[in-house]
Amino acid sequence: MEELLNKITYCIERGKVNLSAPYPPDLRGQEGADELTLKALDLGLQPNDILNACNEGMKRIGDKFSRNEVFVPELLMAAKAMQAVMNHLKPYFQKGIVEKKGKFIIGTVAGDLHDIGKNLVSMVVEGNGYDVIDLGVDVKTAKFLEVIKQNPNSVVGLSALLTTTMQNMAKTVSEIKSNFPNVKVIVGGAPLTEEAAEKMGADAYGPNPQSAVDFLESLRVN
Amino acid sequence: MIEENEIDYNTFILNIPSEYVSINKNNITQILGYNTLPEHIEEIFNEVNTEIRKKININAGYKIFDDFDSSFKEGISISNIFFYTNKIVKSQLDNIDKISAFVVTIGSEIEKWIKQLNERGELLQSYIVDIIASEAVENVADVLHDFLRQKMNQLGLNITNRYSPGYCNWNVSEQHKLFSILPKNFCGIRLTESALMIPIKSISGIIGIGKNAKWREYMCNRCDVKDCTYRTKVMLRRKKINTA
Repeated sequence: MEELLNKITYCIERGKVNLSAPYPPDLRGQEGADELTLKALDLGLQPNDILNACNEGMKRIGDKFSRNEVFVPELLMAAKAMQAVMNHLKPYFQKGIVEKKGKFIIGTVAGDLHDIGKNLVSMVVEGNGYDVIDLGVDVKTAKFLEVIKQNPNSVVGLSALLTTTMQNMAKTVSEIKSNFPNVKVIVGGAPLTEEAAEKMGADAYGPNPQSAVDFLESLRVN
Repeated sequence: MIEENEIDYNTFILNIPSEYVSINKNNITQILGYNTLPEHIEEIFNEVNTEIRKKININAGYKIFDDFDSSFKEGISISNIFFYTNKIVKSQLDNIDKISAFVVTIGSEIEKWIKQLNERGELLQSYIVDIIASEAVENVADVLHDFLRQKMNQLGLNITNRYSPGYCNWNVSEQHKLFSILPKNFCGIRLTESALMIPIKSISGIIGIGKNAKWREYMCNRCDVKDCTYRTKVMLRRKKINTA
């Protein structure tokens, strides 16, 4: 049983989706996250244990990414493998058998259409066991406020690529904080720095996807 | 062959065939972060690189301005509009006689493709297409830059490197001023309120022209942006020189 879970962790870390997936080349012809999850469920393993195994795989790849040991393609492959597992676990989430760690609302701020960074954070956070509400790109402040109101215990992640839209980000942070003082906000994107994040009143700056996970985990501990 | 049409006084449209776009695999490898492209990534690269050419719709053009003033400390004036370019860009435009404002795009088909791949869950393909598309539009800007250099050389003039709002400490919001001195919807590119060009895979900028104009490498050591396209290009160029 433990071995099967370890295999799932490894498939997530390496981005091995299923048997027919040609990537990564050294795992060609071997079962992937898809088949191993079905096997684990058939053997009666707890969905929560399968999810934890996946989270460990995502954490490993996220940490490697933070250390520049792997690059965006490896992260995307891991996210795809994770998605294969999530498709099988979906019914258990719906029945409440498996619970997500928390809700994370994410979006690229108003005026900005860039989504690669935002998508990476979204995938890594989801892969680490959080329920992610991805609002997409060019998200107006009013939309963030509306979704926070519907999901009051969420943490919010804002992304921006341009210096012009970083100003919109600051406005969004300010509006969120004045309407929902207890809601934590993490910001990220090319023009951002720790200092800029602090100046706009955000609770954290995320230079990479794993830092968003670390921030969410730190909130759970506290 | 590149054809040039003058659509208005000193305003030119270039017809650049898609064959002029050559994606350098080594550049893509290094932009992705690798020293050698992993086998599976190379497969995707080869697959999308062929397809991308069919989806590229190049538009490129430039306008040359004689009414240019570089006597200011932190910027330049073109057609009586002051551009607060900041010192890095300004210092590269001293001693020039004219300036050209340019735009290039590879169109919006690629964006649609990237979106479709994302929706189908082909995240890696989508990402690689995005990277290649960015390289392709830079390539088109290189073609325009080179065309302008050759044209000016024939007139006994030199040109500078190219500079764009959003780079080299020149605020991206100044893009609005740049578009205000070009014909409306020039090359089919429009600007959003936040100074984002649509289609996204577009580049705008300025190039100095003059007898004493000098092409200089980007001054990345004086700029705060660490993950900039041009910093990567400078590093790639240096690497090539060192390994030559």
